[in-house]
Amino acid sequence: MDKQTQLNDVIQGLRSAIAELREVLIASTDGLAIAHSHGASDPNRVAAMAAATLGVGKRISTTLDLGEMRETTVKSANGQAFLYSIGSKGVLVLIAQADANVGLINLEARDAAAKLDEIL
Amino acid sequence: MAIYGSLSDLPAPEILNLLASRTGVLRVEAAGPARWRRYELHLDRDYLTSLLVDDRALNDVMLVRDAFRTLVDLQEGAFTFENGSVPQAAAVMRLPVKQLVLSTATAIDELAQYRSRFPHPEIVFQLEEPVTEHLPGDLEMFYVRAEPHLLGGCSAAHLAEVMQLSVEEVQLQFYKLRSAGRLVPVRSYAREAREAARSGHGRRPPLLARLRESLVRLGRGQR
Amino acid sequence: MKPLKLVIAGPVAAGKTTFVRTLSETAVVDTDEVATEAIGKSSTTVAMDFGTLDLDGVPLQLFGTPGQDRFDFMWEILSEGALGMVLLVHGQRPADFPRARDILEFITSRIPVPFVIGVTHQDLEPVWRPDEVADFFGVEHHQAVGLNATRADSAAAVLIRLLALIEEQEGANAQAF
Repeated sequence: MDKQTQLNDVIQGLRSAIAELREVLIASTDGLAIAHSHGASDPNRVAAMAAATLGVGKRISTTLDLGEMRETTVKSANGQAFLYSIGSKGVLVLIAQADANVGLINLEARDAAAKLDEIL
Repeated sequence: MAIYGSLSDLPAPEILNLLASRTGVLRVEAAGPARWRRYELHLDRDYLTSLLVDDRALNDVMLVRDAFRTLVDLQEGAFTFENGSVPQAAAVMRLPVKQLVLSTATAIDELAQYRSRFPHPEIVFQLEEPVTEHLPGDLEMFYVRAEPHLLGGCSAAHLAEVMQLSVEEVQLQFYKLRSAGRLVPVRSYAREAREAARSGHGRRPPLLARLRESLVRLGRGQR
Repeated sequence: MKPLKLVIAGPVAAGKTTFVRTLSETAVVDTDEVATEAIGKSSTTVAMDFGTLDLDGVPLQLFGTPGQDRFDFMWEILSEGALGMVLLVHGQRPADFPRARDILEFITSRIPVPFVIGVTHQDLEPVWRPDEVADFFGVEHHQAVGLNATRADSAAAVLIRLLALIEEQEGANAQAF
């Protein structure tokens, strides 16, 4: 199976497992969209913002001696964005409704991130 | 001193505007499909004193204007500008460069070619002063309706809404006027500074002087 | 005292990260990642480069921005409340000038920030000189200055010019009214 198909499979897997997900996206660490679900947002913009956010998070981790940075969340009034490090290769972004099940999302997403680390 | 580059990155209308008041020789080497291979323009302050195509001097104003038009259409090629006095012996005319630049810029018809050059549609542009020269058909019609808005400063996006035109169409006309040096971006700092001055709120001159002196010492290796 | 903020913007590979590193007194906090595109170097800034400088007891914060368009939201974020901006362009890359001009106009049309254009690589030939770059950008000659981003004295000179510009602008406004 080619890489792109594998990536899309992981994305599909997440969407089926979590009903409250709006969008899923995989970005490179320098802000380019590698794969994404068919959501409403511009994948290029989301990819750049995710890379920038993760980049800042990594620096916080390093500067405060917290070890390897793994994830960060943006919680807002009408939704949430969950960002997970894919090793040092990229970012997995999940955008969900405000009342989504965080526990389930983290469970599935961390698993997915590990899988993606092997694919990329 | 070096003004040089590739026409695919810096199109002719923009280069000519930049050279408008300089003295020297502009050499263009066309690549790809082109009527002539080499252009040589002698610029003497605000005037074009000689134009050679493939080493042949053009004496007729109509031929010169026509050659200028082909220069505008060139999509590939390299250019260099050699600063310095022009050979007086070769001078055969005195055509105002700014006029040529205006007619060159307004000869741009191809939306496709320039589309990638358009700046962000939300950037506010302004006319430094009303254009009094004659403008060709399309641009004239646009200009007449746009002038009142442009004198006060307006973005392409806003003007497109007001004039019921596509944003791209407005951007193309903006590009022509900008290349002719008539449209300039309005910087919000300048706007706000004027307003601040009007209301009497200044900033911190003594602090700035202190910072400046500190930087000077830093530059000298002292702290 | 509240730190003063300076933002360093410009196209990819103009020398922004280098400039911040040259001036910063503290270790620069950078957000460099491996570049997956061919940009002439192996890494690229994805969020910002942050450095600090203490001038006579006044803390200055230097924020270098990423160069690619896709990070334009960072240009706005980082320019908010900035005392001034340095727009850096590589003097041997005229192909990047239109991009740089777009960045400048995008930022300055939204956020009131005085600026200076810094033209790098003046020690090489052929190279665009500051006044030539100023003409291309349509700014006054004293708003563009040449520099070597690796030298502290050269980088400091750019900031000096920026501060002089700010002072002059405010002096002019004070006099006019």
